[in-house]
Amino acid sequence: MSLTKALAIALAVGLLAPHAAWAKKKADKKEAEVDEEEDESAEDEKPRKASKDADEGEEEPADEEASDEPAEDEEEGGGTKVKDKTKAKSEDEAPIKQDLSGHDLGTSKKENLFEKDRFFVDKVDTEKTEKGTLVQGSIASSSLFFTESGGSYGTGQGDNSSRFNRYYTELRLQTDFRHIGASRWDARIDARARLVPTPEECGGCAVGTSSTDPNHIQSGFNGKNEYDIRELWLFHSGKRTDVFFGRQFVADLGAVKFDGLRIDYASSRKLTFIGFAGLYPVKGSRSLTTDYVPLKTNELASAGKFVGSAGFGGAYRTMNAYGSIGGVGLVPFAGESPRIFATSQGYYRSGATLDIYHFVLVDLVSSVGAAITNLSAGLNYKPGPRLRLTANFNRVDVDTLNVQANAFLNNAQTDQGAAGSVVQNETYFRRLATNVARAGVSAGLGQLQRFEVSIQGAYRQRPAVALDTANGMMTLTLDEAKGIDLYAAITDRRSIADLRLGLDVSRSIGLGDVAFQRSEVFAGRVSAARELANGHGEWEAEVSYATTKDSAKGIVCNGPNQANTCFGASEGAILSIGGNLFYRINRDWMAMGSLFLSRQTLTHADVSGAMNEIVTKTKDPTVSGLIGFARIAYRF
Amino acid sequence: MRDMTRVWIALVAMGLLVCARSARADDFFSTSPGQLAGSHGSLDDQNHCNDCHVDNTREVSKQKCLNCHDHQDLGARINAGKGFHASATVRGKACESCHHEHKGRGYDLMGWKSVTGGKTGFDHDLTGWKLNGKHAATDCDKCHKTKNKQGLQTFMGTDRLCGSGGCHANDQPHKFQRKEMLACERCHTESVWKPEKRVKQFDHDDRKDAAMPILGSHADVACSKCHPKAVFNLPAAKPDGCGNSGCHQSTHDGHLFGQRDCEWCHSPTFKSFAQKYNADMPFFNHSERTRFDLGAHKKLKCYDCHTKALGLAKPVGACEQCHAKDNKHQDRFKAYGSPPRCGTCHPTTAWKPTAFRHASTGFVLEAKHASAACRSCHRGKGPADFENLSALGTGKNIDCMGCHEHKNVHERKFSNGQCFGAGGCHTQPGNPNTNDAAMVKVYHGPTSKFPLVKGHKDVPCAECHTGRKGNKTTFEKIPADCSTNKACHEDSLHKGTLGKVCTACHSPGIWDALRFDHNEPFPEGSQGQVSSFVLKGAHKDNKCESCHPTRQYVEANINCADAGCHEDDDAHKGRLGKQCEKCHVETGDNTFNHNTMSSFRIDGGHMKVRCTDCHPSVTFKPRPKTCFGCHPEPAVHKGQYGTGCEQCHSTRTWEDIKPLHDVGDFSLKGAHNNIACERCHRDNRPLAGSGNLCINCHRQDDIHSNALSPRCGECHTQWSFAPAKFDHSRVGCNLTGVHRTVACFDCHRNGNFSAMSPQCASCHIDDAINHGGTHLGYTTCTGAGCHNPNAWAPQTGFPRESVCR
Repeated sequence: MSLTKALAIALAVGLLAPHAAWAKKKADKKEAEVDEEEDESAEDEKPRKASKDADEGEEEPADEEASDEPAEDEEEGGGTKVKDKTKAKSEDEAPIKQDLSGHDLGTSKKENLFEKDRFFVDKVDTEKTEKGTLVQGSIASSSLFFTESGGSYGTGQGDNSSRFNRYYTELRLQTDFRHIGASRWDARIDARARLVPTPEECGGCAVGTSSTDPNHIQSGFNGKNEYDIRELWLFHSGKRTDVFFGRQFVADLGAVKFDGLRIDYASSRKLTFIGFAGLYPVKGSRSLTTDYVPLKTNELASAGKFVGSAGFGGAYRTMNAYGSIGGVGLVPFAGESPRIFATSQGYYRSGATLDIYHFVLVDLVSSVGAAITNLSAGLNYKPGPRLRLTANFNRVDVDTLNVQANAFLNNAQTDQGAAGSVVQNETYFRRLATNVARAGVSAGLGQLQRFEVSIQGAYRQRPAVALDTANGMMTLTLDEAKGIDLYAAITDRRSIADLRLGLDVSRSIGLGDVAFQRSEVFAGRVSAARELANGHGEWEAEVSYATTKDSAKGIVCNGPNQANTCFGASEGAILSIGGNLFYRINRDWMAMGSLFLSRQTLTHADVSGAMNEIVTKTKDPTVSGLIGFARIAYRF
Repeated sequence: MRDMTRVWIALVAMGLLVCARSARADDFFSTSPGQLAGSHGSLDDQNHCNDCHVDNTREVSKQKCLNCHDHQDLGARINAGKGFHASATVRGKACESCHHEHKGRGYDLMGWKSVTGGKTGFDHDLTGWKLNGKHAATDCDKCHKTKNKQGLQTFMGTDRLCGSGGCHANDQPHKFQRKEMLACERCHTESVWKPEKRVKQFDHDDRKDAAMPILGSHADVACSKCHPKAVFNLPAAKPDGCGNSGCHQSTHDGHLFGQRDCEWCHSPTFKSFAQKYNADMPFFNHSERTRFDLGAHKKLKCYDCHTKALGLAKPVGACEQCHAKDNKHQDRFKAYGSPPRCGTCHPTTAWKPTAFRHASTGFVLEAKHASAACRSCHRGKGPADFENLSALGTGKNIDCMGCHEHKNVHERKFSNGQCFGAGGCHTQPGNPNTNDAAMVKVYHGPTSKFPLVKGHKDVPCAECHTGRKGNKTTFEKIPADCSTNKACHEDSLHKGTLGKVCTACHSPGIWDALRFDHNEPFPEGSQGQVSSFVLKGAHKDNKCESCHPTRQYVEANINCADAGCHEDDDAHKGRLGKQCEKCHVETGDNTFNHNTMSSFRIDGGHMKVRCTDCHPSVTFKPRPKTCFGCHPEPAVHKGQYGTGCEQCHSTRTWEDIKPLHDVGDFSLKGAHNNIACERCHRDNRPLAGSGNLCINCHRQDDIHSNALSPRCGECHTQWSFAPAKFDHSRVGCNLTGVHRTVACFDCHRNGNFSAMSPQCASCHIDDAINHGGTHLGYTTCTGAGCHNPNAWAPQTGFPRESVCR
């Protein structure tokens, strides 16, 4: 090697050596930064006050702050850096997020004076738990028993009371895992199992003499055992972005229940965007056995098992208003066109006296077209502490997908004898809306509003509905039903011996030919309640009496084409005596129970004669019933 | 030549190599991880790496950071367990985990980027100084104004005393100086300055808080009266008395009175010093506290003797020093001093009568003589003839008749020697009474028309029998009316306003008006009417002149606060009218009923509140009727719920917001009374008005496909969701038999709860088909006498093809 080459190499090495060293140091630095960020991230995982004291009116949106203030790193140059830093700054100055979970995930909140004695109250972090996982929850065991006895209608005609007893027992576990391992991860499970018996149908009767379906005599979604996962989700709380994964419901977007992913992004403290996507279990299902059942088309053909769901919206809050608005799409994978609805709920307070609220769910696109599926709008006017006036309008319509509703229906029987000429209830799905307009006034009277007098009036209406026979050859029309409900109540909050005494009466009056719900009802109730053991418990006893008078004058129901005349034609009275008891055994144990006895008498009317002009009234045997409910719960 | 070229090349290359090495060594910044922040700029060279790092490693020593002069105070606080760096969040963390270095001169070394939300998101609670109220929304820079020598904002050492340092020092108008008084939170909330806290951490009676305890009338004095413009630090250097506190300007400056504490004469319990000053002055007894018994001088005003001209000097005690100009005796009494000592004749109790010891003249004054006016005997024409008694007798023999002119009284029947003594009529010199008691008994005995009783007993005859014939008492008949004869009882008090029949009120010989009853009609003939002012309580014991100071008895004032009665007692300065009886009764009790006599009802916790808690001034200036007028919004709400406290709270107790959920049909019970508020009030939102729509919270729980009412309470209770109260007989379809316990879903599978066919076959047609055979032709279940709705079997007919009864 020549000297020139050697010198050149030496020169190159000499010049490059520092750069090589610098490059190595830069690499080290990069590693160090990564480590550092990881450390920071680890530190950031520490629990934060999710719901730090909010003062909505004075806080500027973080976005505005970010845009108003000069980028701190501009002096270091580098447009790319500025962009990155701006993003970092945006993250740094994350707004105080809205707490949309309904579970007060801010575990560092202070004890709330008004709920300190309550049982199902979220725990507050201690010094010990804030460095780890705060586990809290409850396990509750509930049981119900119902039995009744009546009398025979005559030889071979059976009793008017049910010969089956109703009972079930269930266990419900609710557990929250907060800031798991001092991180930003949370989890929640809310699961319930209900066991019910399926009694023998007729107790030894001959084979083939029973109905083909087993008797489902229990309460619940379908009277069977239930294995319910109400909620099961993981949650990560970011500075602006929250992520939920698992079974959950979105209270801000029509309370849609789904299994999937939800992401919330707090754009500012006033606005949080919500987006979600996942699978949509059968609406109303309360068991894993019915969450994803084989779905059916309107023709009751297979439509798969799953329905997808996705939605996007925003939850807002201002000084005087809050609410949410968004859209949700429910997409059956087969058998039905997607359903897209818009939903909005909101609350607005004007001054200290007027509150206005609404909830609306509008189907924009669906297999049944556009419709207002749900609407609640009302106001609450409180001109003074002693007077409150309310008015609201509610419209409720059946809210489900055809493929899910059809899953539980049967094929129409049109090809078997005369079956096609019968209106078959279990072969079709029907949407039917009812409307209610209600207004009321409550007044507090006496010292410290000891007495309260409330009066309400409501107008309720169901439109006429047509029932078709299975073969479509005949249509039976059920007339429009409408009526007025009147309600009055007086309560003595602090009566003798610290009793809370109440008296309320209600009366429903039918309008037109058919009363709303086809019956006029008068009901009166007297109740007394009192706290026990210095607030450890509370009992309430009541005596109620109700009379009913059906709209139909008498039942004419001799053939398959008279379904619209087969409704009840009775006058009845029900006397009920019973009470509820709640008792807090200690801080972590709670018991609750109720026991009611009832006695029902009935006089029914039959119509006969060529012109159906003869009305025969017959008094049925009295039915006595007993229903008891007990719950014991432990919290941890 | 070629070799030389190579040598040059080699030399140049080596030079460049050396320069490069040298440059690399000098350019420390090119090899360091980056420039240090400005604050540490002076350490930014190779020689100072170990000022922070440990033994040339990446490790940074926390102790080195804290030992640095600039951070020693932080180290002390951490060791003391105080402040943000000692909090559980920060304690134990490495300094560099938050305070990133080597990121350039301008990098924020304060570590804000390590704090969630940056500076504005900093959780100030961790510093041990929780931010409440407006503090929670106040910009950091408003409080933390100090900067270190590098010009960076510092946060430690901010004075926690609101009124000192750089925060509210200029906000407090009170001119407080003592450290403990600068804690504004004792009286103010962190939300608003006004109104201040209802219950203050301030006790005027505590010497730590105020030098002067609140006594007597001061309790009803508005603060602003003594502390105008809220200046609570009194301007005087040592305000330890009334006169030097700036409240009561002493009118005695430069005078002897000004040398004494106000309390010598004034009492805080006096309603009015002027009033007491003139009547009696129980708080200052001149006779006890000085060597000068005032006697008759009590009538004088203090300044009559303690003239302003005397200044700080005391008046001398000798009479003649003050009364020198009153000496009208010229030199006639030189024997008693020069000037003559007044006390020889005049006592201090009154200028008249004399205290002269007449016995020293040889003429002992006895009986009536002892009280006779001097001039009765000393009848000289002028003052100079006072002691000239030559007209009364000769030499030292002064005979009775020299004065009494018996020659006229008794028509000169008697001589001087018969005046008294044996055979004399009168008992002794100076005593006009005769020895003949029978004389009196005839005219004024018990059976006489005018018995002399009580006070009349000892009255000399001549005082009533004023008739004279010459100098003789004529004893002519005089009217029995007390005031007819002015010589007896001149009606100087009532001045005739009550008529002339004194006996209507007074008994003979007893001057007290024992016969008068303020609550009874006046006796016939008197001018008075039935009193419209019934005396009760303390008024019964009052002296008449307390209410009738001018002896004006007719058409006297009857309004309590009229002049002369309680005008000066009216602590309300007349703002509440003159009819004190609306609120006060004679017993002193207050009968004011806030609920019936004002537009603001008092109940609940307000019953325990003292009047002055709401009405700091005794003028009872009406307060705002809204809660916010007296209760500044607690910091807990942070302005979220406005000022309508009554919308949630009641006056029962402040904590009792149960009535908020005890309205209408949404009184919390059972399960609802045991869940956290946030379950419904997500994000602490109010739900007023919409709460009774159960579905708002239970939408996801609805198994009825939204087909029923949004008011779940029509079937369910708040105690627990199960059991439901629904009774099928209320919907026009009473169920019987097994249908009473069938699950709802078995019939209502089609999302339809209000419009179904009730025919048996509408639900059971499948059963017929599944059964096959003859069942295929059936469209009814009961019509063929097979089934009934009470039980599927036994196969017995039922005359109704409906599930409804």
